[in-house]
Amino acid sequence: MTTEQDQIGEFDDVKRVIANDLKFKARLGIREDAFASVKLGKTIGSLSDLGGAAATGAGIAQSGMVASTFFAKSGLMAALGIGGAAATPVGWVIAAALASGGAYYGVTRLFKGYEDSRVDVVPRFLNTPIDLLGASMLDLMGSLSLKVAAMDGQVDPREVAVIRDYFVDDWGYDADYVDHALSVLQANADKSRLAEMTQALAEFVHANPDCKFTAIQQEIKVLLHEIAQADGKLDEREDMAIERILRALDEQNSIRASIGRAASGTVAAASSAAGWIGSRFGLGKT
Amino acid sequence: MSESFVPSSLDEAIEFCQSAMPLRKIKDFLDRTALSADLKALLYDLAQFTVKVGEVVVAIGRRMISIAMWLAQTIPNTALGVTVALALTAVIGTVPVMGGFLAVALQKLLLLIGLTAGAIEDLRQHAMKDAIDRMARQFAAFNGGVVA
Repeated sequence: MTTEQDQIGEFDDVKRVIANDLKFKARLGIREDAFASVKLGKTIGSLSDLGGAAATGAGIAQSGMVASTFFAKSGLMAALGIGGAAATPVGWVIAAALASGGAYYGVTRLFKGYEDSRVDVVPRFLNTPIDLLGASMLDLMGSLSLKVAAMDGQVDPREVAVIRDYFVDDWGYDADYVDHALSVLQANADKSRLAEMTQALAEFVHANPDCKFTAIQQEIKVLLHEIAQADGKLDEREDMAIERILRALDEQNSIRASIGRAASGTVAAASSAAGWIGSRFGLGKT
Repeated sequence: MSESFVPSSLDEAIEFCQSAMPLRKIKDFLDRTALSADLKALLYDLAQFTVKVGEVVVAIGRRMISIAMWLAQTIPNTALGVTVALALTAVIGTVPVMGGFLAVALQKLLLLIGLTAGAIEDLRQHAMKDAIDRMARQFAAFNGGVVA
């Protein structure tokens, strides 16, 4: 049985956690929001664009063309001087402005979602040291993956290969680091419950300023389904575990969870999963 | 050339700057620090700053950042943002013609690290005087040689 010292010794030749920083940063899904300055500028820009669209809508509603459609320039009303000034009722102008602003926000959101599915935006830098964040994400996602792989009673080598290839090829991790880390995670897989692991992952991702929850949620979903199919057997226990995990992540992402976090005070930004989990469970920083 | 080398001529100063750490390694280093993304981006922009001396484009920014990295590692309890701010004040004071872009960068940097110009000046005159005086001598050879 390998001791902890033996396990630590195995990492002596490992020089880095992340081999391809672009892949890693792309997977986090944070895009330009990693930069507080850009995020603030985007918010202000959206509001001014929204205001611009609303003003444009108001301008169109106020124009002579629209007014003349609704106000006759001849007949009794025109003779009385009502409607002849081509003035659009204020109420209609405001309604047109709000409608166009709302339509702009709705339409741009629609096309932004379309763009997001076709373009990966990679921030040049993150707020967290990249190796530290990488180690934390692998600990949390990797241990959850191995737990699911072990649900049918044994961890198939094909399942481990899927997990390894996922982190090395899709996330840009260093292959040596992943090999050693997965053996440590496998040795410790039975020390935590599935629900605890899922909650730890969700809360870490929410707390870290470089992770987008929905992007990580989607990644976990894809990974867990790949693991379930890796050994060629459809195991009901694995399916149920995956369903539980995804449901728990959905609940964590719900508005109720957000309100709960806001009510309980500011959540300190998490950079290291070990230190953050330790402080949550009163174990002190490791 | 080590970070503490003081060039005695313009040619040596140019060689001193051109032999600085490459941008890729500076980016790798910044990726592994705990600075904010905005601050890392600003430091990387500074690292890309170059000046023209005759027909030669000199990578002054890379040398400034690598000296600042060295100072942050060798002097205890010294943050990288602070050493870069000190490096900028030293270079701006020594070679005023480089002041334009560097002065703007210094203002943004001070905002990001939460220090005032006065605090930096205080550090420059007292705790970090020797290191910053040496840095001023390292870039002094560019005075008069830089094309504005």
